[in-house]
Amino acid sequence: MIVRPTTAQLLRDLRHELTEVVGPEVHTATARVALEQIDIILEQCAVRAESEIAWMVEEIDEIEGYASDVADATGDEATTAALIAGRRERSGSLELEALAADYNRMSEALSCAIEACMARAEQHELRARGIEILRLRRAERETVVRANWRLVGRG
Amino acid sequence: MHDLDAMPQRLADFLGRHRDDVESIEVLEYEPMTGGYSRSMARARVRYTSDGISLEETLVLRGDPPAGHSMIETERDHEWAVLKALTDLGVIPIPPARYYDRSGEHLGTKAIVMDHVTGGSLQSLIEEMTEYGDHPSRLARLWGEIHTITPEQLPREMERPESWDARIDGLIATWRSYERASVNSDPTWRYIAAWLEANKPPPLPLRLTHGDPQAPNVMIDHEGNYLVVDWEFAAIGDPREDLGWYNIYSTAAGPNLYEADPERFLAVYREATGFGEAEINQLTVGYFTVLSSIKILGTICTQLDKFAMGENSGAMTALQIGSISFGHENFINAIAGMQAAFDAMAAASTPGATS
Repeated sequence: MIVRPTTAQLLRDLRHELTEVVGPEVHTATARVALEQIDIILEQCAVRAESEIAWMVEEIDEIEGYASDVADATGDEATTAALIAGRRERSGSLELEALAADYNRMSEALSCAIEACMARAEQHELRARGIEILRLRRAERETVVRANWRLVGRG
Repeated sequence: MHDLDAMPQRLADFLGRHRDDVESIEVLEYEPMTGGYSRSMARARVRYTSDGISLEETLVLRGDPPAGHSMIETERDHEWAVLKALTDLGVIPIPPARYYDRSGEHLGTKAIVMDHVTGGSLQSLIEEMTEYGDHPSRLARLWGEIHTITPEQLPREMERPESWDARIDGLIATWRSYERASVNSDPTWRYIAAWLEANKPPPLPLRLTHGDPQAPNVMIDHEGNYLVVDWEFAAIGDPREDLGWYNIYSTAAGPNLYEADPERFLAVYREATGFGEAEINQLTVGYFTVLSSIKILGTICTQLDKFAMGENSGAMTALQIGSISFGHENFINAIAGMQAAFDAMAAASTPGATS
């Protein structure tokens, strides 16, 4: 398997080709907007191709640890059930479809765990830890994936 | 609407059904417009001739995009009913709605025909400005004028919430229901719903809400008047839903005329509506910035789900993954800020607290 140039490099080269070669030949407003949107999406795909598998694996492990702590501290049934499902059905595969399914299942455990802490005032420390996972692991990485995102073609 | 070769004749025939006062109608130009994310838009130059005298005007068509290429699904029947009611009411400045192809049999898709506004949008104007002059106050007043319209003045077919609580609880439940239905599990949306439920603000009377108030949806005619367009999301709801949506949208695609001076903006808004400071303040706007976003993020989420399942496509839809993640980041930060303010207020009101 030829792994270099990487997928990200190929996608960024396509961006360059579209901007430098195709762009100047595009003259209608609607097509220019579409081209700009495609450029943004290609860059987002490049960022995801570089890191999304590693990020999902890392987050699954972190969420599992957090949900386990919440289940122990609260005895919350929904969290416990989601955690069991996440563990039992985890494929352990790095194939994207299977890993995305693993990630979704463990994300459900994170949702349940945060909800359990929101409903229990005394669990403010665990609640803060859950929100920090949302902020650091998800929101900040999503910001990296957004890359040069902007709402093109409005107004 | 999408067959550019056939449309001039189809449009001329359709207009002819509504204009028996002219001898002939000719569509001189027909071209797609950019700027509509959810609908297909086109501009047509039309010539009417009677007794050897010709008059020309430009019309705008607003219709459903081709199947499988929609970023957001909305109902044209609903939009037409709102536009007709507002045109007849004459309180809110809008480009008059003229005709509606209710079945799509004449124009190829359900489509509304309305007057063309010769100026640009408020968005394109303020993007070029460093000082916004009186635009923040004018915009605050405009949103306020919309929110003076009561449910009794609106078409009967518009959905009426049973109460303010029912409306707010419904919106909170919407965060959860979209998340539950999605191909993606989203702990941020679940956290948002739980926080919104625990921190409801004081109520306000239900009013007309635009649903997608933003500078690109405010056109400016050649006399400098504001005209509000794109009423497809109009509903009866809490007026602050609009303030919140304006705030989040303009943060994503600025400039944000609220953020420039929130207290001044809200003072003008309160004056236009008669609402009080307990209900209209930066914290309640913050709450609704989060709450009301689901109305559009939910539909975006549905379209992205369809994309994932092979039922939808297009760069415009794919681009909206950014809207969802932009919301995640901003809502988490906004809730953190509001929670800190609530905690500080609670601490200050605790007996024995020092100021």
